[in-house]
Amino acid sequence: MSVSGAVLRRTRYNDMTARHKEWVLGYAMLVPAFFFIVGLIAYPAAWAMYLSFTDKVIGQPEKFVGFQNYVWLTQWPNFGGMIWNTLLLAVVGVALKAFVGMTMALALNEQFVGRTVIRALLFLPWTVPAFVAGLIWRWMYDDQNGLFNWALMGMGLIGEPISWLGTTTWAMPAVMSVVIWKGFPFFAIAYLAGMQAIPSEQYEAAEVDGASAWQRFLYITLPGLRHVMLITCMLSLIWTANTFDLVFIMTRGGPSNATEVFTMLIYEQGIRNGRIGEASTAAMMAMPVFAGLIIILTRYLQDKDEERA
Amino acid sequence: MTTKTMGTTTTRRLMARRTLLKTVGIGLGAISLAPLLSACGMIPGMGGNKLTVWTDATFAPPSDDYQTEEIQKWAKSKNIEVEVTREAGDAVQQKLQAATESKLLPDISQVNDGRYTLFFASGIFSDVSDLYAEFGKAWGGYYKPAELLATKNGKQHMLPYSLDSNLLLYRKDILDAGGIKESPKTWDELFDVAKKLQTPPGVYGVGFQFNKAGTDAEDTFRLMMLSYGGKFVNEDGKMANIKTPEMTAFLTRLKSSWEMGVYPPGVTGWDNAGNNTALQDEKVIFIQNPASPLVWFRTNKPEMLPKIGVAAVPGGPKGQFNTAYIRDGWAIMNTGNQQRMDLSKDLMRHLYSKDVYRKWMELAFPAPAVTGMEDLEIWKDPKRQGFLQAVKTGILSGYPGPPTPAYSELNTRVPLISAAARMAVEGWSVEQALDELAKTVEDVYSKYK
Amino acid sequence: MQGTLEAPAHSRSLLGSSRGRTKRIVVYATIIFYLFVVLLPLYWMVRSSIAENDQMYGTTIEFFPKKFTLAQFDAAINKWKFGLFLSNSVAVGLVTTILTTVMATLAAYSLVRLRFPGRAALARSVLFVYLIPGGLLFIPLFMIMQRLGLLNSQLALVVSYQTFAIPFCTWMLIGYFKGIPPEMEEAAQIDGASRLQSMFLVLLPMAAPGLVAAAVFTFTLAWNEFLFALVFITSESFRTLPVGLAGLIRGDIYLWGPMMAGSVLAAVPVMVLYTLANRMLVQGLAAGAVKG
Repeated sequence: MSVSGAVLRRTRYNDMTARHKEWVLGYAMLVPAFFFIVGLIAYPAAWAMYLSFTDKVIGQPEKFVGFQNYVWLTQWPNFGGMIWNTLLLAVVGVALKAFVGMTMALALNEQFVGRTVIRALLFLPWTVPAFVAGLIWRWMYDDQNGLFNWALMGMGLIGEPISWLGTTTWAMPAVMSVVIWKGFPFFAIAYLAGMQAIPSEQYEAAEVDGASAWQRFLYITLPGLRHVMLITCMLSLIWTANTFDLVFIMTRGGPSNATEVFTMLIYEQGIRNGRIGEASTAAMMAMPVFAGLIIILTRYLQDKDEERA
Repeated sequence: MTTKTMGTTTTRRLMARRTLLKTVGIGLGAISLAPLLSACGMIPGMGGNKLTVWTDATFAPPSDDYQTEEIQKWAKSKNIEVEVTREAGDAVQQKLQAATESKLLPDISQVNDGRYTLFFASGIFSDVSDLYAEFGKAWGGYYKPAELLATKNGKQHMLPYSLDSNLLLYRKDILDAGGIKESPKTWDELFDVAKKLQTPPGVYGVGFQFNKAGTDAEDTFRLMMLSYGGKFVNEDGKMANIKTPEMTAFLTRLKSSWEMGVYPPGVTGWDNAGNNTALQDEKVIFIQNPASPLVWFRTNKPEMLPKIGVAAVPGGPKGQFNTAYIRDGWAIMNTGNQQRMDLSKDLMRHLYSKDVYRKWMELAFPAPAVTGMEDLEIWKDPKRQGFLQAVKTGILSGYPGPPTPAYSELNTRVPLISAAARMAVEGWSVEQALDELAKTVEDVYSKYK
Repeated sequence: MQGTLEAPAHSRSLLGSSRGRTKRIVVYATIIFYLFVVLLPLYWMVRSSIAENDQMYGTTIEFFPKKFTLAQFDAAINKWKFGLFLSNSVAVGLVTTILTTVMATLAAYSLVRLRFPGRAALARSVLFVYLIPGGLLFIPLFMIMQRLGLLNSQLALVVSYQTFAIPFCTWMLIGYFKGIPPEMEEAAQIDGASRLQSMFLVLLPMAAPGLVAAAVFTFTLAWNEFLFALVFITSESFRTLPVGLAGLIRGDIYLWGPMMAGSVLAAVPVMVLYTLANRMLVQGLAAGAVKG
């Protein structure tokens, strides 16, 4: 065998396995993460799915009941309202959080005195446990004793105290304000970190070309943050729709269902009544929605990539 | 890349191997951290030779501390270790759920009547009828409500420790100033007095929660409903006819009280602490609650205590009712380990012993489950006496039927508060509210045929 | 183009180098407004933590308490054992974060830079963990922990926290990695670096701000987690902060003073972590410049 022939064969061999090597490496790097995820979630997920078709009560053997729970759920008194509230809280909440987060990140990206301290301070709301935040805000919104009414009346803006958490008009905005207060630092810090990865040459070049601040934002910052924005919004949508602690501690779904979100149902049926068959059903019904959301958003991310490649 | 020479490929393979080794090395290093972590208590070592007691955090911390102290004292005297965990709110219930499903039970758990009804069917509570009889003999018997709640099919699977009630707590000083000598005996009187004496927006008349978070009010409205002759169940515990003239009369009275304007507007957003806070902050005249504000006043505003009165809940045209429920109760879990269960029984004997039980009762503020404590000094205080009298004649959850899981579930749906909120917040008519109420009851009871 | 990473991009204003006064006013106004909104409730929390009991329950609102006291902190630490809870939370948080960040970095790199069949589906499936709410998850997880013999240990928390931490951290890193053009790594690979080496030496330094952000977020998630910490841990000696704080709600009475003091204590380590991370970040970027 000639030397060149051997070299040629080995080169083709290396070629083929190069691609396969990439496969192997790719899968291997995923193993640790998936080991945990699959190991910890597969069984609970299957169990929850199974339970939604039974009448299981804690401590008692279950009986298969088919779609009975699903029918029961759709006949829940405030089913439509519950879905609307959850959607409202999630969509509007995330939109506002993203907006506030973006403006904050832009401002924090500038140079000014005390920037590091202020950045740390603005991160605080995310570090406070949800129910503590709920308690403090609830006190501030209190109709007889609360800070807001005291201030507003003191300034002469209102004659009578407003029952923020007690009227259907104000309860949802009040809860949403706390959700936003607590959640926006996530967006702000995420965007800030993303902004720092955008090469400054792009901005310099744009400035040289005469682009205005707004144009620079629109054509450099936003596209550069595209992936981070999409992912933070997606994660936050899922989390906000699953909000439980805040709503529970502030209004528990009241007044009169104005802030009832579907996690309240899971809590009431599952934890307070031990009827985890029905509680699972509520989670199962929400699942397609979240799954759809995940699939659509991730597909959007993939497509964009193929375009660039 | 395809035109690499052999040399570079080998180098690349070597470098890749080195990186792989590095990664593996880091991984192994991390794993070897394990013993270090275990030394710090991260990984569990031996365990399970401690007796575990799960109990609630009550609104009287001194009594909780005393109880924990006594349990530890007993443990030391027996030379064993006991672990007492105290949780608030629904926490014990959640832990019990996980424990029940996985069959990993603690040795002793606190049970109130709600938890008892909920978990009874799962069989996690062991039969303690012998202890029940023993303590009954030592203390002269149990009050009726305790006996009724703890006994199922002639046996007891829990030991009642304390009973409690929700009573009318009110500002005696405001009533005195307004010339009213006695607390109102009927609902009509209550609302009239409230309307007359309130001075909004500073001080409102009545603080009942119109929000699902304020489960106190479900009890209040239930008593109101019963006093007007309305009911959810019949004596046999089966669902009754909901749409009766009595129920309409009750809902009408409730709706009209809202329209009288005796409630602070924020009641539609209150939780269970809302009415406490209102009374504590002197913003309301009447609330219905167990004794927790009294404890709070004693610690924080003792000068207010003489101004607070405690009275029975008002009555209606068809009668007057007070509630009684088991606030503290003990269950020895069916762990299957006879030695541990016997030890647990011994701990119970210690907690029910003369000095310990009496001292705890003085600190804790509910009423005892046993009849043999009526000689305690504390009952001379009319406020505490009020609770004692109420529990003797109180009605149980599920009245006029027995306590059932169906009724428990209905209760967690807070149907009466929902109806009240619909009428108050959304302006529903009595008929509409009654319709939804009936549907809710049917919905729940249909599952328990 | 020299190929050198300049001084951190954040030191160059994104809004342009114009010295416009309007720009400064806008920036300052925004900062001040947000600071006010953010700090108002927190001020109240701090104020309550150093106020006397009667000040807290006054019938009138006193914005600036006249008397200060450390009694609430004293109660929180000594009577209610918050020092212990704090150290438990720190331990769990740190170990969780380290474990998660490592695994998420590997996974994110693989899903972004490598090609293999099923890549998109696998990336998506990481997120499907979030379809099960915690209120349903805790019972089967409890049974798994029991079978692993991990109950009532901090390791139970570290392991169970991976369920929400890994998807989150992985996807955050995917976002940051995608934002970095692969040309630099490809150049390094042409020069002879392996994939893993190019990841460690090129990508990670460039993605450092994202890495730090993801790690800090992960720590905070673990820090604030309540339900698993409540159910998996039964001894008080392993209890974490959120459960400890919740224990101050006794029926319908809130022990406001120690709770506020405890909350202030709970905020401190995260702040410290974040400040450290910030500092490390600036140094890291300057040190990680890739020579051309």
